[in-house]
Amino acid sequence: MWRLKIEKRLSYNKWLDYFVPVASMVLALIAGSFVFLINGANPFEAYKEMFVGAFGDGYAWSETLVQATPLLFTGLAISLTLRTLLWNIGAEGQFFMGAMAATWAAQYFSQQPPWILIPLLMLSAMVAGGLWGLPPAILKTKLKVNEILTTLLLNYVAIFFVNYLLYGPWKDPMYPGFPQTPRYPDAAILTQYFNTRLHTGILIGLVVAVILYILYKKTGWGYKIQVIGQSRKTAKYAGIRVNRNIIRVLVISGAIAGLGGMLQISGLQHKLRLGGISNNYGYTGIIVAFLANGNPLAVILVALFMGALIVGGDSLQITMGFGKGVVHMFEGMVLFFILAGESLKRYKLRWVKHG
Amino acid sequence: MKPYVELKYITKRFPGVLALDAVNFNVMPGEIHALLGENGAGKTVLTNILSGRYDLNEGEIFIQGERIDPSKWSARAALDRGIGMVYQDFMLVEEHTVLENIALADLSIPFIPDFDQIRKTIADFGTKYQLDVDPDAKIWQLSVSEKQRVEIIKALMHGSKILIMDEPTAVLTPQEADELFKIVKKLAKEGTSIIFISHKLPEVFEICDRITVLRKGEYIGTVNVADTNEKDLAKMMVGREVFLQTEKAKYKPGLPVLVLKNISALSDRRIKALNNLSLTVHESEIFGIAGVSGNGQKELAEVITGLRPITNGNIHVNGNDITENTPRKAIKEGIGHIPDDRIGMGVVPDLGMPKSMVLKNYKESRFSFKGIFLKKAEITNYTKKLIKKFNIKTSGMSSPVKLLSGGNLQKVILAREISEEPCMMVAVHPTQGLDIGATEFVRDTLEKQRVDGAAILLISEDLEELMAVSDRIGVIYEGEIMDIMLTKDTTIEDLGLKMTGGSHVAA
Repeated sequence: MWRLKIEKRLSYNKWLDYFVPVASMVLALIAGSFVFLINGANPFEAYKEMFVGAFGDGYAWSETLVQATPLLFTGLAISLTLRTLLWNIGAEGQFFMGAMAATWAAQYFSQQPPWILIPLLMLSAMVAGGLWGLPPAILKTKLKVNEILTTLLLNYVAIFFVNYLLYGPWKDPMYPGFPQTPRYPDAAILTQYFNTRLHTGILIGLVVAVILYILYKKTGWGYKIQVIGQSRKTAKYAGIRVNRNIIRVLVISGAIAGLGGMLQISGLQHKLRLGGISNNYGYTGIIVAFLANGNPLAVILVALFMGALIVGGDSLQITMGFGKGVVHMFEGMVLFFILAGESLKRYKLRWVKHG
Repeated sequence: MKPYVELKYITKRFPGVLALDAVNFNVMPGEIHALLGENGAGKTVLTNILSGRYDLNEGEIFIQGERIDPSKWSARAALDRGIGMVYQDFMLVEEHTVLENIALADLSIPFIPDFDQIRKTIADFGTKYQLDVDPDAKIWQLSVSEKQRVEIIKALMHGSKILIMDEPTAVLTPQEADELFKIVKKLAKEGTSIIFISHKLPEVFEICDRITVLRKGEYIGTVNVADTNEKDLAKMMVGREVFLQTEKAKYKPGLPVLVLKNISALSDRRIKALNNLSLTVHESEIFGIAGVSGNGQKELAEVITGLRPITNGNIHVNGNDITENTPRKAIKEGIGHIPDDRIGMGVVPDLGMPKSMVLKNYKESRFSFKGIFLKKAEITNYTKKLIKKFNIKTSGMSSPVKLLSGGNLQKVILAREISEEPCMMVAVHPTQGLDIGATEFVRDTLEKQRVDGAAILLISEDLEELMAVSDRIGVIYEGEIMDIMLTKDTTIEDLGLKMTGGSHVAA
């Protein structure tokens, strides 16, 4: 009799970093085809539709990039905490707070020219997002409260607070029936390119990714947070002020997520609108950061992939008439395979003869 | 007489490593058989194969003359065939009683155990083998040697015919070790075989019948204790002559470097761990701390290196007050630290050598521009220099340091700490678990530091090491320094007695 045995890999193979995700993807597509078969569709056709929907022409590409932009920010925000072995589940709330603060600034400084107003929006969004990361950071370092819970719970506070503003004091008096703010002044709106919805946000996201990459790889601070992330005990031993740096990391992470929120509104939505702020970007960002293994350059690729999955899924709904459920089922399957494949980097399966 | 267990031509490969190369090993009934070898020699791998934890690649296992099908050999099968293991790090449930822990070891335990029966069995073992232990005590209340006895009883409960003991005396005082030897001898006399893994030659000579020596996975030979001596054995283990006796320069202490005055501190459990402790370490002096583990050694090292705040007293280094100590302050004052938890505290396990070497000094201008951008090339060069100077063996500079052997890992830590030219060095169990070659190196390095004028506080459980290396020895007991003696005025027996609080009794 043969039996499958799980063994820990004793050595680390670099090629697995590339092979495993690709193999997982292929398996996911094979498994996902059953979803389409059950629903009476030709899986090849469905995949073709998805691919064409996400990458088929310039417009498809632009939509994929538009979807990837907020994920780039939440993914980068979370990659920073991942490196320090902290879990920021609060990117969603920080994203909301960033969007809110930007909206406030857009109204308050509405008379300013764009070259002053846009940086002001960015700054206020980063401050708001960062402040939203601060209470969990303080609770974590002073009282050892688990940051997973505090960051998660603050999401609800942020979301409901923004909802309150939309239904109450910030509601657009011109459209009293809709929970939304007035449109941003033109000076607060980012340029959109090629007659598509693609906006400057993606460029800023790429810059942030490169800055983080340099920070991680080239600087003393990047080294410091890496030490903290891998061994708190060693960090303390080496004289690194662990708590101070944990606070910094959570606040900077919040600021990056907050900036993502601002760009989403200023670049795409142009007003705060109920249901039009975040499409669970803060949560999907966790997966993005995890799949990218905390590497900011890999976050770019993974965010693009996730964006394509969203856009391709949307186009499936339109062209093949699938319900939302079928598309989500497929997307879930893809993620499941990729996440499961992750463990194969550390463990291997081996057939052993038994009995 | 037929051997109870016979291993023939056992070969075990790990990826890229030949851990065992056609090793032979057999154990007679009622025999105490030592398994000797340096770290990485393959002793643990061999016992793991015997106890069914590892598969083997080639070779044969015979139990009572019967050939065992390797594919059916498992941890459970080994237990069923009477091969028991006394773990070095005890596998006991701390919050449960001795009785409950022992009941748990019985594999055929019914849903409702017959505790009276188990109680009786424990009592029987107690009288038969001098394995006395209170069945109703909670594990956490027991001393280390009592826990060890519980482990032995657990193994006997399976009806073990062979007990594998992996460095059982590493955690014991000399007196406790003597107790253990009595038990082991009694067990052997009643027919149980013992496989005794040890680094310490004297105890091997004291209790063992035969000795099998492994070196780098190779089988070197099996000898009768009666036919050999320590010098020959050491040569078999290392493959060359060794001189563990460090050449010591004359003891000429300089000015005081570290002055601890009436310090008290709490343990992690918020119990008083250091109690009004005072001591002074001078330039060019190695001050040894002897004590049974858990008497405040860990806390003492942490207080000096700034990892633990003190509740009372004061600390001075070279006349500077560092009573409000932090790791940063301690490093700035030139206090080096060789921690006992090498992998958990001394390094970041997944980082490569360069990043491990500059852990404490990466901010210096030679390694970074204004402390912001790291100078990769300089760090790499520096690392290369240290690797050469300390003769560190590595498969590649950037491979994670956790893959290094214990000795080489300790060299990385030593290299880093010594390169900072500390005026004060706190070394905690610096040779624990290291093979003879690496031990020799560590001791020589400390001696060189001493000659160069550093003050060294050496915390060790190895009394022979303390006697060989230290100038003065302080005995720590329940957080207090019981006595401070010149090494030349004391003996191991005397230290052993004082470590257990014996000086009170004697006085």
